[in-house]
Amino acid sequence: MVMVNQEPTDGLKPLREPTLFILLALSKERKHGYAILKDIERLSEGRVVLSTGTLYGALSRLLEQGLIQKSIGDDGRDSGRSKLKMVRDDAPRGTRQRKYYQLTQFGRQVIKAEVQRMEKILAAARREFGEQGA
Amino acid sequence: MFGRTLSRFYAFLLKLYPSRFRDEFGKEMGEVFDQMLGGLETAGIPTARRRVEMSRLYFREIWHFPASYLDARRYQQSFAAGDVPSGTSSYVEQDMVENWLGQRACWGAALLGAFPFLLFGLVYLLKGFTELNGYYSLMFNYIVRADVALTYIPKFIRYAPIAVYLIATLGFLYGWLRGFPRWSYSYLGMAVYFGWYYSHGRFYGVVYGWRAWIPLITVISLGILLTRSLRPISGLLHGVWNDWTRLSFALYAFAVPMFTIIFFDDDWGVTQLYGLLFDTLLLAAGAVAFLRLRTIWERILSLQAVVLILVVKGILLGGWFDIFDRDLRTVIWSLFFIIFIYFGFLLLPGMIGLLQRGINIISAR
Repeated sequence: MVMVNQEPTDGLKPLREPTLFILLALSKERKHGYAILKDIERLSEGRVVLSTGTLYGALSRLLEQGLIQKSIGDDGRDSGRSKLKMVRDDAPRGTRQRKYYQLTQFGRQVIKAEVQRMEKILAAARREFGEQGA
Repeated sequence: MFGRTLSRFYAFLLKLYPSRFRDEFGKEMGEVFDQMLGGLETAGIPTARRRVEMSRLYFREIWHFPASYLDARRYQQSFAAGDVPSGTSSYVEQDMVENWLGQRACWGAALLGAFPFLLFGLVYLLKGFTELNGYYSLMFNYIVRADVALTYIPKFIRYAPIAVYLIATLGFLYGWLRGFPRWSYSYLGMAVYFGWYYSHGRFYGVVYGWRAWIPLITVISLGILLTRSLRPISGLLHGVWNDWTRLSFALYAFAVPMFTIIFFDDDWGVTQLYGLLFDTLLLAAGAVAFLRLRTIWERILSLQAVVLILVVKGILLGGWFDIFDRDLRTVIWSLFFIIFIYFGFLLLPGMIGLLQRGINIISAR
């Protein structure tokens, strides 16, 4: 039997590519749906282009899993954390408020663990290819 | 103008999503889609090219719709069930809300898991009742002339087991889309049983051969197409690895219903019909118990108890002694068959689970 050291986030890997890109897009700051889509396109150099259905399906799952959380902010304004307020049903009428998504602490742990895992694989592959002189 | 038309089409597409998901995300999705269209309108590209790009956006939404719809369904159902673990779901099981070991299935899931057994029994009861003697059949006594009824077995009765096969494969597909929860393993077991059964021998003059596997192959292809991934298959195996009793349950569905009819050999009698009714209810009860119980031992014992009762009943009441009066080869084969099902099929996977758990406990110290 193969024994592997257990990490708290081990059960959450590996992430699917769109999921990984969504989390990466949210790694610096909270973003709304359109900004996430554009960021994924940029990060993947145009290779991953999500539909809105795929994006929101993934976001709903990530929300359930506690990797991200939703907040609302005034449309067009800076999306800094200081202006963050959690989603509430009693938002004033007439003000168009955009919904933003941001990583939770747990989500941050997961993406770090995933990146570390990928780095380990990459390092092993490089060592292997290096030894073979490829 | 063109953009507005697409926007309307998109609004229609949104209406196809489940209500809870639509309430939560529909407005945002519409806004994002409009922004994407707006981005193309201000990109300064020629009109014809822009329209092509806009259409591509829309068709991408349609192309991705089945998978997105499944995500939305899962969201809706997890809300309805109120059992979504926050921040603890496994990415290996990604889109699933799993009932791992230690968690009992809800009554709905337990009944869903027991349904194939009830259906199997019902269909064979109907088949047996008709084949037993058309003369005694209420239906044919009143509707068709008795002398005709004696020789006439309607096609829908002949092919009713195929309907069970198809329903089992559809259940398997539904289980696939739900991430193979524990109840779905009974559909898997029964679908494989029917595939195997119909691929061997001749049925009312028809030899199906490899074609008997077509329904199962079709739903697997559909599953892959709808989820656009082979990951559910790894999820299925992962489910067994984490909870070996699932394999026992699949094997229970594969072997035990056959166990209840194989000795009749289409030689139906009133006693057999009552016996089959009893067996059907027993099998379904065993499935419900399996799905509602928590520990490996309880689960395995619930299945074992059913088989034990079936064997004892078969020997005491079912005339199985007749089999043992036959030649030595038949006796050995029958005993091997019983022991193989009883110990090999049902107990072994559970024992592997216990062994695995023991190793995990020891290695954790």
